[in-house]
Amino acid sequence: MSGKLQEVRLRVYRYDPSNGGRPRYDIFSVPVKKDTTVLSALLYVKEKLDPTLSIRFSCRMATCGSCGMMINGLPRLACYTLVSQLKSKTITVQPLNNFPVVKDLVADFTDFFGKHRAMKPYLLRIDTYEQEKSNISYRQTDEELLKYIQFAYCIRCGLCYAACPVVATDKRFPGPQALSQLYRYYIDSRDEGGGERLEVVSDSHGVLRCHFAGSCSQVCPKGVDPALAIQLLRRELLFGRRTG
Amino acid sequence: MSREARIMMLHYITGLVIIVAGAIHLATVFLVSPYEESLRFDNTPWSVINVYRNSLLAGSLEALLLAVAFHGFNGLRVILLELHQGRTWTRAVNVAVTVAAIAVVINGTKTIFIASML
Ligand code: SF4
Ligand code: FES
Repeated sequence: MSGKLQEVRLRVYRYDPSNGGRPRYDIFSVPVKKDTTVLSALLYVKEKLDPTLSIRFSCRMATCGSCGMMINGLPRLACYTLVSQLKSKTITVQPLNNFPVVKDLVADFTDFFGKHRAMKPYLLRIDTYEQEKSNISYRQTDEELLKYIQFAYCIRCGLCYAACPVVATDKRFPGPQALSQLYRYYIDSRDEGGGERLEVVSDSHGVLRCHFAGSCSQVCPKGVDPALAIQLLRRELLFGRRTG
Repeated sequence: MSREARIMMLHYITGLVIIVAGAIHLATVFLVSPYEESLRFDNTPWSVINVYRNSLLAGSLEALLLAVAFHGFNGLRVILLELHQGRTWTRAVNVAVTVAAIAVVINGTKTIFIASML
């Protein structure tokens, strides 16, 4: 930490479904500096004030996607959000919206990863034998790479899923993360999934249900634009041709 | 194209039809016809009855009716399916909006037809 110490109030959501308790907010005073992240402030609470606080984190550098939470009402990565950038003396932290709570700030990603898996997030080839032979490599031009590369930067943090108004009401909607990953593979020149991929999201709870609120792209910490992927996917479904 | 994709394609097309047919309707009422006359039921050229007798205008009203019924009730279906999920619910919503849309179209067509015959 560097710079002058200041105090902020951390208002932390506390809830343990296993003991039947009701959700509550605990307030902690935490000393912070200019470069203190919300995650560091929470770890201060856990180390010095309340060791029972549950948080999930790993890399502390916006790479693993495990520290997503609602910070002052917006889905953000706690390790990537500076307390000073929030410009607020009180910081409220809650588990991600649209996810069940495991405990305190830890969200249950079972459904989220299930929806991701349903998109078959790997290359589909007609000749699987050829795909598995280690001496084979698939060549790709820069243009072909550019069609999907931004979607491949997804770290599966779930922030877009927490921001999506359709996920909030329609539990069967795959959500922006899964849909952008479907598009990522669909448009990959090495993939031969084609129509089989589109079928997964062509029903009445699929990609056509997007409201185009665009909040997914607003909150993505990796610069992925899931809203764009969803619209391109929708175009594929309606006009049935590979574009991009 | 999947069934849902076909429905949504029609949803977007009917949206465009509503804009075009709606514009024709509003233009006839507010720009082309003298306003006083458009409220009358006699035989003056732009009276209500004569608008219905004009097959182009009556046709655009029928197109507007069909488009509004489809677009509106499909929009309602989409909202209801988003608010609640389940096979029985989906089936009930589909049946209810189809019946309601057909009822609205029959009633509206009857009005246009009877008025054009007067
Ligand atoms: S698209 Fe962005 S916000 Fe959504 S899961 Fe991937 S990295 Fe996170
Ligand atoms: S701890 Fe890995 S993304 Fe924040």
